[in-house]
Amino acid sequence: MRTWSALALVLALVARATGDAAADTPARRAEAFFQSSSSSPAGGSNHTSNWAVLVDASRYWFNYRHIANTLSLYRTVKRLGIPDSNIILMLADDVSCSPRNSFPASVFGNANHLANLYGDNIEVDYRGYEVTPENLLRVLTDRHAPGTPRSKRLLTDAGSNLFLYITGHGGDEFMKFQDQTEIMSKDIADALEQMREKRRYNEVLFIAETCQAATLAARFYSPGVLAIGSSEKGENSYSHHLDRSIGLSVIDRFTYWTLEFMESVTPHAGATLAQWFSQLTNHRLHSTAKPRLELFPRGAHDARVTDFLGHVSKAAPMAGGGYEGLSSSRGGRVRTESADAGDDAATRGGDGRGDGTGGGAAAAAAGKSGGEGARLKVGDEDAGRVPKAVDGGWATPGARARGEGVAFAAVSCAALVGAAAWVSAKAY
Amino acid sequence: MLIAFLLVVLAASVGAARESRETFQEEALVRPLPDGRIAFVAHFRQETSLVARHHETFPKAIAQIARATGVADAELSFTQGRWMYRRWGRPPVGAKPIGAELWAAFAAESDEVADEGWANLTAMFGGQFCASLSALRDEQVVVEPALVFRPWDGSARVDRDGISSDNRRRHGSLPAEAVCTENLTPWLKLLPCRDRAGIAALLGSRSSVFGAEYVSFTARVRVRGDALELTQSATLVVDANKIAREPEGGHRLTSLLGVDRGGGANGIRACAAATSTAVHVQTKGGTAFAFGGRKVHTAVADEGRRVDTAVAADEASRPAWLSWDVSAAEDFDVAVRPGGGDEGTVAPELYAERVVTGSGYHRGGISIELRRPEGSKSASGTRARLFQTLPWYVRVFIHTLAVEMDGVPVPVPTSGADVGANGGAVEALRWVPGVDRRRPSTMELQVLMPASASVARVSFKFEKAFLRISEFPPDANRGFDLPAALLSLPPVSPRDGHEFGESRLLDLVEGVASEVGDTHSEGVYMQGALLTLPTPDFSMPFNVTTMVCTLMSLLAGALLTTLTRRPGWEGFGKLKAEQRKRLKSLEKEARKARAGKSE
Amino acid sequence: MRPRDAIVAGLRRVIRHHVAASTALYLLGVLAAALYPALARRTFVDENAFLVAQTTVGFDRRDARDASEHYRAAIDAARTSPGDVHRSDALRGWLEDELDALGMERYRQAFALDRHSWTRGDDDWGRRSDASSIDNATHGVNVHAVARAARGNGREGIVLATPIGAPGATLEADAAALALGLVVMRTIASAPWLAKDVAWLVADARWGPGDHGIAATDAWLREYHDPGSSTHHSAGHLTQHRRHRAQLSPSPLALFGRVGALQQAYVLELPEGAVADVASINVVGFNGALPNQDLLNVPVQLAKLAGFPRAGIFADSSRFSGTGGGDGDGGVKGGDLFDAVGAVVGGAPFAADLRRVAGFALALARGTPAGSHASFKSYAVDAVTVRMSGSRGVPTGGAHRRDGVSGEDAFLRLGTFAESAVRCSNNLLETLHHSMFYYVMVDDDRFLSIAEYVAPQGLMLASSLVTAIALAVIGTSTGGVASVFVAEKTRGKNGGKNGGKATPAATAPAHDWSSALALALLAHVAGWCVLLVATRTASTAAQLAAAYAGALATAAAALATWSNNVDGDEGSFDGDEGDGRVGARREPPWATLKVVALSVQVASLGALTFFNFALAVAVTAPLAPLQLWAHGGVGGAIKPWLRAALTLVAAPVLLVATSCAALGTDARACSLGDAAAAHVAWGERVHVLPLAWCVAWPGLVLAACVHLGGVRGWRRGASTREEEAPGGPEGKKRR
Repeated sequence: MRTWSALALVLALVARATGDAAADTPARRAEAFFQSSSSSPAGGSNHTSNWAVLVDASRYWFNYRHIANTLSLYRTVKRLGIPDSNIILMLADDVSCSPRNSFPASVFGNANHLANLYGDNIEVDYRGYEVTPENLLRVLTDRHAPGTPRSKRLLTDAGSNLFLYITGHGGDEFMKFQDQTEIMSKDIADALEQMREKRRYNEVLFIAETCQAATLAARFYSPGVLAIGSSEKGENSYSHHLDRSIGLSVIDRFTYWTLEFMESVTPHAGATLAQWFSQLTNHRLHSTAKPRLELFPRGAHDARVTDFLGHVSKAAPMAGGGYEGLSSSRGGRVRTESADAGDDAATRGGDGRGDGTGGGAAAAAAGKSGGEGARLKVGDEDAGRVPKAVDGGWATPGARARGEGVAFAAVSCAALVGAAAWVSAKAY
Repeated sequence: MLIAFLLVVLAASVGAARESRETFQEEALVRPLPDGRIAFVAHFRQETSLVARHHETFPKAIAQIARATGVADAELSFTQGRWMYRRWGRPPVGAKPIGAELWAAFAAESDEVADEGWANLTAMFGGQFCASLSALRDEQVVVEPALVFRPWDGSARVDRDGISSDNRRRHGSLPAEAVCTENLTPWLKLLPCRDRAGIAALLGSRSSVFGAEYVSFTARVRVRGDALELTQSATLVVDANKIAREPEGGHRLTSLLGVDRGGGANGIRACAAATSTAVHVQTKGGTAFAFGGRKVHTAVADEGRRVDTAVAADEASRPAWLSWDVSAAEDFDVAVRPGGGDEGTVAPELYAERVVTGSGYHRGGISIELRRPEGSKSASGTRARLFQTLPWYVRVFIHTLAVEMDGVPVPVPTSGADVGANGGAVEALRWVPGVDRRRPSTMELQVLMPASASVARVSFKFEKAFLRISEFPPDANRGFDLPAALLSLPPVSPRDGHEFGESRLLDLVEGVASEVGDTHSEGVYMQGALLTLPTPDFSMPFNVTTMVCTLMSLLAGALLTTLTRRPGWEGFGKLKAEQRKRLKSLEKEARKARAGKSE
Repeated sequence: MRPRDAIVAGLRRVIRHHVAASTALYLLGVLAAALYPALARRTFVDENAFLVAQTTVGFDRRDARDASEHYRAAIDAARTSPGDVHRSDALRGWLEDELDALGMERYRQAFALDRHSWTRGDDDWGRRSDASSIDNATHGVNVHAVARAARGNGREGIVLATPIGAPGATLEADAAALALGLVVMRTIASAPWLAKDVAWLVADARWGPGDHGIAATDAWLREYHDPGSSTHHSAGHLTQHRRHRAQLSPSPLALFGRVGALQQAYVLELPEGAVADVASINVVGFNGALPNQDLLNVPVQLAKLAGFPRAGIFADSSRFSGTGGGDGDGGVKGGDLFDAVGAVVGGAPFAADLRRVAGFALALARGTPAGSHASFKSYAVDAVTVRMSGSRGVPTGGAHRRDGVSGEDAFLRLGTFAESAVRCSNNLLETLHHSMFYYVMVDDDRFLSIAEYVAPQGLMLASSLVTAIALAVIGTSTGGVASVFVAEKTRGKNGGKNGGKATPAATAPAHDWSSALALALLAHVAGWCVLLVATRTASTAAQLAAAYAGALATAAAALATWSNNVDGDEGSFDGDEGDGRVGARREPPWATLKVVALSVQVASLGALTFFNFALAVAVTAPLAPLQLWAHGGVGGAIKPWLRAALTLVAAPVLLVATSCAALGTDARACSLGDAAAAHVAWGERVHVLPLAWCVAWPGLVLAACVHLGGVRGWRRGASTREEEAPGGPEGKKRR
């Protein structure tokens, strides 16, 4: 009898262990974690997780430095403890394995080639043609096509601090994506507001590295957003130095000095944003990087760098099992997702602002949520705005310029037709 | 009660024990190539039960994908660089086209189900491998091949009934997809030991993997009964001339692949989860020195050639196989010294080259050249199947399809009736015309190349469609990448008598590469091509040109108007008529007057 | 007054004073042309992706040493070759051995020669320069090597081309080119940054029109873009040589390596061997087709970086006959003219700029390419020829001390340039797509874009257009030199009472278009026939005969039709007297013809402006005044017959003389026969002769016919009534 019970005990333990193992998939853990955190009451105080959206908006080999910028921040946030599952990395081009790259599978932000920013374990969530304003806004507002894998989604909640970094070629209140489309400051501002209404963030740190970068945050109006750009309106952002072995300039000044500072930051050091910003002097940047603080009441002096870039202890379980969580257990998500996209449409349909975030770009998203009028309105006012100088002597005409080219050509042709016809009719 | 409880527990534990039966095999092949390159193939195979709820080593993500999409057989490949057939001969494992390629067969009763499964598959693979495979969901890209995946049973039917209803195939490729670390890392993470131990440890250095002249890694998910099989294989071609040689004149594998940690600690150990770990070296007349490991008796060849490499040297006609078992206990490494015999590599039956002909923005053409290697003659002719899919904006004029043998045109069937009739060279032709913005065009062709012919050329012309301005990619002025075309050759048989029973990899080697479908046929990919389309340009000189041309044409129009219109004269036509009448009368009078005078 | 009315009134005024307006517009056009240098802008590299001068160059002194060794080896190989082997063939054989030693893909293409290609076969340094060898040689041989990008996808390619065996090229020149190419290709093939395959074409430049081996490059590109076509193509030609070709030229099945879609091509010419002091960039292609301007600016920058003391499009003074450079050799005879203009406008530098512009424009107008890059351009591949030469007779600015670089140093410069050029093109992801191919160079670093240089042409055409409209709308009442003063007086008289509207409306002209159009058509058909004659029989006499026959036929036809019309005209005007209504006044046929001729000229030359701007201007400048001057009035000092004769005979002679003077050649040299022969030799690809016979000559003929319109009037005295015609109706209106 004793032996029987002993055997039973053993078997029970075995069964339990297997059962636990079966139940305890990381995906389940992730779900459980999100349910727990999202059920907790929202508010500025409770900060449970950190997320990062890092965007390189420009394509082509000679924009190597923009990808290096983005990867510098990627390296930093990963080193400070944000898991890949909490990082949405958008790279508009692949320079690391480009045959033009003399150092395959590596990207260097410094001519001394000490740190390979690309690393062995990178996860690029959106790359190539996928990097569009539409997809960026979809990520922010979490409205995706059915079946979008989890790795491409920003699953923040009211307790999440968001670090949003954009680099590329831009101008006055716009940022060019792959030299084809643009995203406007208003689009991002509206997306952030929509996130706030859906209680998808606790605080946001927005950084733009481009020409006239500060103007990209000019339209922000949602509380809890701290924005800083590499240059003021009318200023250019400059690259830091040239790497002759790769054959181009590898990093921009703002990011270079940011990385200089971040390399000294440890996950548990109390370095504040103010200390960081103090490093970004005009002397180093050749441009003015001034944070925009009025939407960020607690100020840069109290905010620690790790509040945004580091890991949060409560979020620690995710850190290990980040990878397996990806793209798993997709089966049931289609329905739920389309559903919440649907009631997004219902809620957003009323005020055009939310749908307006699409600007000219996120046509599909806005189209799904039936706010055409508002979208068109925003589109018009976008079209009315003329872009000014873009990043350092960038010569090719952007999509907006192309649009203007079309309009210009059309209008003047029409004028010519009218004039000539009427001249020929009345000229004598 | 207790007994019942015990029974339940027993059943549960036994079930758990049964579910956890999984196998993992890994092996590698090293083959020196002429011109100092060395080809390295790593091959992994995992198997589990499809119904298992819990996996010990088998990747959970793959099992979930297989369950969620109902896929019967799917292969995804990432490739960078080209396999140079002329220099390196036939690849050990079928070479793949540059970029990403995905094909799948679904056990679906209807096409809708298959499409749904395809959509899920692309999305989930895309998320799994950090690739933009979601672009393959677009119906503009995906096609359904009928002929090329059909078994080489001598029949050349192109209808779909050869494809059983539980075997609906989809095929799509991204010729311009970038392949890099973010794709390789998840691929390695599918392995039980990742790249920490086992053969995969040889792929640990990203810079040397992607610095290779040709790197291709594929993952194939296959459902066999209730068994789920995941086969991964990676092929690298590294330039040995750039790596230092060992004192005995060979190249150590670890130094070739950039994973030597220096000192004596070189080498790999078998992955603890592996049921078998083997390394094969295939060289003609060359030698290989193993550091550690146990030489295994394969059925490759008889005693002499197996063990004694010196004997292999004079047997340069046939490849010498050297196989080792790698243990998890001691480090293993192998140094390969290419031999003189390696210059003579096994050439494929046909070289295939595809050329985009013509220049300019309006018309163009494609010419596919099948060339028999110099000196190789086949007693009977060579059969080859051509599979080529073109985007919708390439509007093919199918009536211009021409097939030449040594420059002599041969008749091309124009209807299904005379396909293969009167023993023409074109034995089968399947043509699915493209539909604008909806469907790419697909061409499948089976040609019989007579033994006498040395060059066959298949050519046709096409027109380039105008795209809407929203349809241009950001780098439109680079051109548009056409997907690679596939040439499928019948299996080489007999494979000079070798049977590698226990080794999955060696089953693939030598001609039976690239199991396209389930037919052991050899696939030769013709590389993708670049097509220039007219792209919008609003830079200033063009605007000026447009403006001035418009102005001048309008002025010409105005001139014409002024020349032809009489302003302010409604009754002008009437006036002219009167004038003409009066003129006639005056002429009459004048004539009368003259007549009067003359009298 | 609303702007609308203002515009209408302005247009009316212009139309009414069209003679003054046309003259003013024409003069404005000339002035604008003279102001070209003032409008010039600085050049700039438009495409950022070139990444010029941001990298270290792999080609080092060791490579230069290897190059000079190859150079010597090549010369020895050519010298020691057996006597019956052509030197360039010997070089080719040596090259193929070297390429095999390098383990580099190489291909050989034998191309059939066109009938007129091997007329230029002989070479002044080869051993077999006798005519028989030329007749036996029925095909040329191209060799090209391919450097594969190890990690590239082989879909895009760059071409380096070094033509060898060109007429006048020394053995040293060819050997140097081959040695340079070998080492550069070796460096590139092992470069870790190579993303595009590079093909090195060693074109067989012994043949073909011009001195640059166009035939060879054409054949190579034809085979490249249309596999197996080179022999199909040749089937039409040299039937009498088919037997030779049977064993000489290969089958269409020969292996031909490709490098994907060609993106850029750099043609390197070393006419003086291994010397590198001046890099003169040649961009002019067929009929003034130009590559993207970046392909001019980037090589200039790269050459300067590689250490060339002088680089640019005007670096070699002998290139452009218009550019006298510092010393007067090869300068234009019209140089003093430029000096005069320059002195008036902006002094000596201005004059030099003008001379350069004129030289460049002449090179464009001539239409013959300045290098074998032209054939690439005709396949939509941006290409440029860089000719490296010594500093002999070339002012190298302040860099005189660095002159005379040769041997290893020269190879270092050349190799540095070639490698960095390839790397710049390698950096590009997109093809050069910014439409910077409408430009006129003023200096090595200054240019005129189409926005600036199109102005004179526009103004000149506008002057013709104004007259045409005026003649069509208000007729000769104020048109024609003879009657303009009358018109002025009448307008002055009644200008106060009846404002603008009445005058033109009252004199609404009636044109007889059919006959005028028929005449124009006849003239152009005649011109086309002359062109046919020219291409068939390349003789001056035949062309002149045909030309004047056609002219006389047109004139006769004109007189015939007009005399018939005159019979019809009788009394067509006295219809107006009876009723008070103002009748449509019948226009004299010469006015109608003038309108048609002017419109045709405006349309054709306006269209030509965008294909070959310089040629269009060169035709418009003399033609416009001749046609404006043409009128059928009896007034004026010169009789109509005489005017017609002047237009048809004196003007062309004068034009040819002046153009020859500008070209620096003497008038006897440039005979029509030679022109026709050259036209045929260039495969009828050059537009000058067709333009001269099919556009310019008909224009002259029509102008002459317009003059002849006065003859009839003078004979029949009908023109007097035309003079009074405007007075008549207005007189009636005043009552």
